[in-house]
Amino acid sequence: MINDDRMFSEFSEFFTVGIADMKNSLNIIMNTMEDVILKSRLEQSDQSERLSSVQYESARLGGELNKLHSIYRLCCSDLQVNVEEEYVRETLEAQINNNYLLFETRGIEVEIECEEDVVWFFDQDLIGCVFNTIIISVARYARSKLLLSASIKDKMLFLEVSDDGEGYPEDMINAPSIFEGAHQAGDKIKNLGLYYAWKIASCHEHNGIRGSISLSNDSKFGGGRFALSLP
Amino acid sequence: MAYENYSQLRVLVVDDFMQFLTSIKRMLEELGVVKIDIALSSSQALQFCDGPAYDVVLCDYNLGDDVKNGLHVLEAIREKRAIRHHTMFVLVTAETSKEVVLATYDEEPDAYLTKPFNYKMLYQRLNRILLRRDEMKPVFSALEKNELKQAIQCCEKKSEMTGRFQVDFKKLLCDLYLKNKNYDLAEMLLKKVLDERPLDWAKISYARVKVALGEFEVATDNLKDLIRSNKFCLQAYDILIDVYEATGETEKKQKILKEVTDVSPLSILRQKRLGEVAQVNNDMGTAATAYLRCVQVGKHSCHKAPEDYMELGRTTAAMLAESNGDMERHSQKTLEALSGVSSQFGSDSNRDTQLLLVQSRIYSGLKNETKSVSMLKKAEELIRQNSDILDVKTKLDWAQAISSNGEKERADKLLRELVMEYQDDEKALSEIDKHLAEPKSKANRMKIASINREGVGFYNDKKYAESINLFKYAARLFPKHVGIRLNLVQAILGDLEAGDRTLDRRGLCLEILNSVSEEIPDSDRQGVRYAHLRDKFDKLERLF
Repeated sequence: MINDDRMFSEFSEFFTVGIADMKNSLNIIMNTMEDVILKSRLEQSDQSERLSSVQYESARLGGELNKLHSIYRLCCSDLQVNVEEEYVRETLEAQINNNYLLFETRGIEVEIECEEDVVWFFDQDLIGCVFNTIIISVARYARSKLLLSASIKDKMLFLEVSDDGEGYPEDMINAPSIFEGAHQAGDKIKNLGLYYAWKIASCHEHNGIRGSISLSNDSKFGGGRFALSLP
Repeated sequence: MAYENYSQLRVLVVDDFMQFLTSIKRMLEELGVVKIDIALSSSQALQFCDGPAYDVVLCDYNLGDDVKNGLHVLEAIREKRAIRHHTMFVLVTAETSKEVVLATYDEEPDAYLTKPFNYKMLYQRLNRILLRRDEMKPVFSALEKNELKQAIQCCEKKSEMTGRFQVDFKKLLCDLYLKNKNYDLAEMLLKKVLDERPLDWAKISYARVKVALGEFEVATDNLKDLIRSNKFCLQAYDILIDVYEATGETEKKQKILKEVTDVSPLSILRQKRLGEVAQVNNDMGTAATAYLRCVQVGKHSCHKAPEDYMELGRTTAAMLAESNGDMERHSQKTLEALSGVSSQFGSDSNRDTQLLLVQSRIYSGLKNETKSVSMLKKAEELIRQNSDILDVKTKLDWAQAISSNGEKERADKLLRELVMEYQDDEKALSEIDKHLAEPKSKANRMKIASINREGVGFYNDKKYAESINLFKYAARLFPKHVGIRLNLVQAILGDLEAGDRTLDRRGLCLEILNSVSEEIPDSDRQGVRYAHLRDKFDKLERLF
């Protein structure tokens, strides 16, 4: 247990330095892999397909590190949600670019439906992190298509990720409504990744309205659809 | 939209890690950049920056064993070049600690790139800042020609168009309105933004407008709200500090500086300001701590200055002289810092002499008489050699070192000579004032007169609490001023007679009376007053 200030500050130090070190290492791994894949394509070898699982795992690792960092930021250091007026397309594009090789090696076609000048109010780091996690997992389950779309309705921003995979299982679709109901401290949280997305969405509040998430299997490609709304 | 002129760009990449440099270089070449310079350390980076300006500097935050980090490099580049709109600085970082994140708030790089990142991420970031630079170019070139009105017109036109940079133009336009004193226009723009969403940047600019209009109360209320809702909003503290500077509320100014340096300790300039204001308020403990932090965090900053080291020494000596607490660790650190001054900043007659004098005072405070005396002797040797080029600061340090070595009379004589020597130099006089019983500069004499008038007014109206507060403040500004201190005693005694016994002020009265009795002869006018107040104190003492 962390029971005093000194231990806490030591923990913080280890934690933040540790995350920075891991990100540095991961950066080298991913850059080297990018090199190898691009080169092997030129040489038309089948290396790049064989590296696709390594791609997926390192993308996941990067996503998890970002997530840990943002959770630390919100829970342990008192840095707050930093809401600014942001360009929505840019935020979505960044997450696709982050993982472009993953989609290429898996043969998934990615599309963004959002005008360049759409702006909205949110914490770009946190929302970016949520979408990064979601699209990495979608990359695994989608067959060939992934669509990110954004629209503004009734003073809310709706961001959606649609795919042509098998769709989400029942318990994931029900998860957000379980999160909404107050769960007791000590209760085991299922679907931790979704819980994180829900938590970040609900950190965004304006005029008493909070952000939220929902999942369904009515994507226009017949697969799953993840939606996040922000006030 | 894509940026098209990558082949024309000059780019500098800074990192201590070769593998990183190679992979960034590959990515840049992929984009079509031809002119790429590579620096393996901060000093190499700064050398490169002496040449023609770069379009982009990509710099890692962590430069390994190098003494400076990426933000130091940015600080130095901006200090060197007045025009900051040409070179786009991208800070590459894996850093996550709160201190580092907050330090980046102050320097505001043009973009961040968080590790891990790939070719496409780099491309997206560069594309955005370069397109924005091009888009904003007409505004900035008008500004460089001092055509403020033209810049505003251009900015107004751009901010009305919908496009990728409307948010940036809105912020810039607001700054320009402020600069051109179009306060009503700025306020209108900001109200529109704030109606939609309470964004921090708009709240900050709104407070700026209110400050410019002299509506300090509205401004401070807004800023305090802002800090309550986001305690990391460093700019809000900075404006509040400027407000208190303008209104002369030095105690409030110190309080806010203390808060902001607690929140974000890595800023050398704020630590320095805290040191300065605490010195004005005669809070030597706070001042000495702030100056120590200032020289520690500023070790590699381009803002570091020898004067900060000297003030560290002076405030430490003053703190030692007035306190009995354990200051051993602080003093040792101070002496350590002072010992590095010559090697860092080179030799200078005034500074070398001041160093010896300040060290002598610190040793005297540490009861190390041998060292204290020998330092003073060495200093006086230098003083004899350079008597014609010594400035008032050095001479004041000399008087104080003499005094702390126990020769009060010789010190007083030197001070009297200084008053004569600088009688026509208002600035020097106000420096000397801090060490005199009665100030000699016009400004300080007027200040004391007005405080006395106000304080006595409160006293006559039987507003004792107000009177006490005012004289307490004045006694901190002019700790040697006998009249002020006796006024304070008188106000406390008046309060006591009126029946207020809740606060323990006996100790303060006694302390003042005892020190005054040592300082003045009985025949003095103040001496008569002293005797009267001492008498009254003795009579009222049982009431405390």
